[in-house]
Amino acid sequence: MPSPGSARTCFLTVLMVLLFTRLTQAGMAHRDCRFPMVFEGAAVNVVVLPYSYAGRNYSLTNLGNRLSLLVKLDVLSHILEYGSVGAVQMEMPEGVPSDDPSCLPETVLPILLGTHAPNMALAGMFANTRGSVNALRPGHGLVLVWGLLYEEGDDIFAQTYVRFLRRDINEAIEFQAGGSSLSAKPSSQLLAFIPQKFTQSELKQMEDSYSRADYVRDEPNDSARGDQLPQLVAKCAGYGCDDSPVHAGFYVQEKRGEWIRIQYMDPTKGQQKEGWIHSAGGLAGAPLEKILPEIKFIEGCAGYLRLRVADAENTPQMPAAPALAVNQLNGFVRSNDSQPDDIAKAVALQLAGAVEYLSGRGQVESLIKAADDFERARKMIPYDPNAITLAVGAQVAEEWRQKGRFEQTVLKAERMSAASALSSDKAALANLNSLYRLLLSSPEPASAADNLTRAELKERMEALKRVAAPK
Amino acid sequence: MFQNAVHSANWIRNAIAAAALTCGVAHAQLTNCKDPGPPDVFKIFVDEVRATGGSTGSARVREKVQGIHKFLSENLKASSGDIASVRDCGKRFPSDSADFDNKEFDGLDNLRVVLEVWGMLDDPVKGSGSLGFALVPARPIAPPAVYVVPSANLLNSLRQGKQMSAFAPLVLGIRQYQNKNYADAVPLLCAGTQQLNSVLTGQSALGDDAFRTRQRELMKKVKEITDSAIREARRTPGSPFGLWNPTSDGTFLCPD
Repeated sequence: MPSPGSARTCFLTVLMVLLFTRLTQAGMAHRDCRFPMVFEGAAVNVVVLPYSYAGRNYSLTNLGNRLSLLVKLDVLSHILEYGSVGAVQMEMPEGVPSDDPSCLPETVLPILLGTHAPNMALAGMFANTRGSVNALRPGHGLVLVWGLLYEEGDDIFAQTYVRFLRRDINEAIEFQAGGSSLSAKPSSQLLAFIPQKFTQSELKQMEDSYSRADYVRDEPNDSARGDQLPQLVAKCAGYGCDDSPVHAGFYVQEKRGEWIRIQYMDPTKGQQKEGWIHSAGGLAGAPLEKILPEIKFIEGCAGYLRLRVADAENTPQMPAAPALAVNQLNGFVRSNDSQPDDIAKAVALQLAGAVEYLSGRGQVESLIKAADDFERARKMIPYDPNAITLAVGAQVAEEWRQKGRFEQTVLKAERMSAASALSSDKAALANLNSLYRLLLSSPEPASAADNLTRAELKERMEALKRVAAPK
Repeated sequence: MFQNAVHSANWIRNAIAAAALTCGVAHAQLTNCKDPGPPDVFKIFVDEVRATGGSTGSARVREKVQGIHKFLSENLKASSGDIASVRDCGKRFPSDSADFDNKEFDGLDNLRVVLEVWGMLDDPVKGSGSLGFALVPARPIAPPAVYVVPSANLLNSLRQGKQMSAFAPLVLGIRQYQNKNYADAVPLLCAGTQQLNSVLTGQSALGDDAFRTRQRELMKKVKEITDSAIREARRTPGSPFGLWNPTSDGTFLCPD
């Protein structure tokens, strides 16, 4: 006969599973880095690690945790429209040595990708985290965010890093035209953003925002009664310390302005509970992205990944999602005008172009926008073979759709030849071959100037054959 | 027999590594890097960032220099990707640019170090100081290949400039060129050239006039070896570089 205790555990487990199997938008705060988790049901998870500080100044270490919580909540509240998204903020409990590597991206990422097992000795501490798993599902997306803090006079600078991916899937984008295809990936999936300054007054505002955001309240009002989100502390290092109700994660039911209404399971009472989190309060009323424009990149990147997961799984996407993702990515590009050759800006344009291209389903307007985005990115990083191929591929797709023939074929061929040499990827040669076949099978260009003749094309194809099959 | 060959190859490799380490140890001026890393990968050494003057002992200054050190390491990791391993060299610190003599460069080269970086914080309040870069593979083409860049505000310069992300591909490209890995050298040289150009121009141009003049001289040499690397790569039968056409004056340039 089962004991009352095990019956209760079983009941709670069933309730939690029921709650999280219909999970579409979810969050977790103050997750312990030593046992990383993501939401199993979410197509895309955004995981925010603490912004680390090299020194021993406790207030700055604390600031790193606070900033990561604000970033995570702000991002979550702006990606809800994508559906099936999760956001997790991780940190180290107070009292753990500062040189513990658990919160480093190189420690967390292999666990989330399932290539490295977590320390299962810690599993008991986190036994009631239903709906979440250590590793992403294959094909699901991840945006991993971390950062550094440092002092300069009275100011604090925060530098954000982002890595984005889908588990076990290459991010190649394929352009179709006239039965041929060209494919390339975004130029980088690891980005370092420009450090951003927080003045003393902004630090004070961050403190206030954190105090407001760290509560689950009865009403969407900062003065309403509320319970603080559970904090990680050193004493919470044994079995059962993770019993706090919202620690297991929460399910977002609606967004109202800067607030999100969440549902969570209180394991101590076996009840579903609801409350409000002030998730997008910004700093003194100004959006957090005014100081950290990379937040827009993170949001748009989550939208890009969400679209790609939906495409791969053949599931419907929210109709407004592509426009939202493009808007967020372009918002980041506009905010970053002082860095004309910044690779982060180029990748943001490539992701926006990919969203336009993939969601446009061959419509001329989308193809024009995509080609423009990819070409702008190429101009920023002209040495990058992926940037070249994305730009040429999008131009080819656009011209084929609009005119059924191609212009400036000398330029296209020269650029793709350079890309095939600069790339160590054999796919680059296949791209060049596809381009030549496409040009050969298409009608003659309107003007002979700047275009390859059929004889020149055949000559180039012969030269390519010798490259593809070296003796 | 095959096993013997493997053992023999390993023995030779270990001997070379030991000789290289000894070379690094033997030098009098610079202490060894505390964590030089495995022998067979390219490396970037990040030395100590030191505060000069009387304020070196304060906790606040120590935190500041630790912050600069971490900033340097993390950005070099991001810009070098999987191509080079960024190593924390502990207390290693050149007292003078002249510490990087031929012997020191040879030792670094044998250890497959491509770049060494260090910093000096002269005025912790104003943040003024300088950053040092030893571009190890660049010594034969633009000697002495040691650059000390003064800055009125060290962190501000680091934040605005992208010199570190430019130097990493540049030195790796030069090293690949010297190793006759021409096809691998070209993408790195093109990336480094483009990025260093952006460092030397515009409102946030790095360093003083003397530094920028020396960097332009380096860029000229890099342009020459990029052209040479493409020509050499084209000689390999079946190389995709055979598809790359020269400009109207017959030289090979990176795409723009």
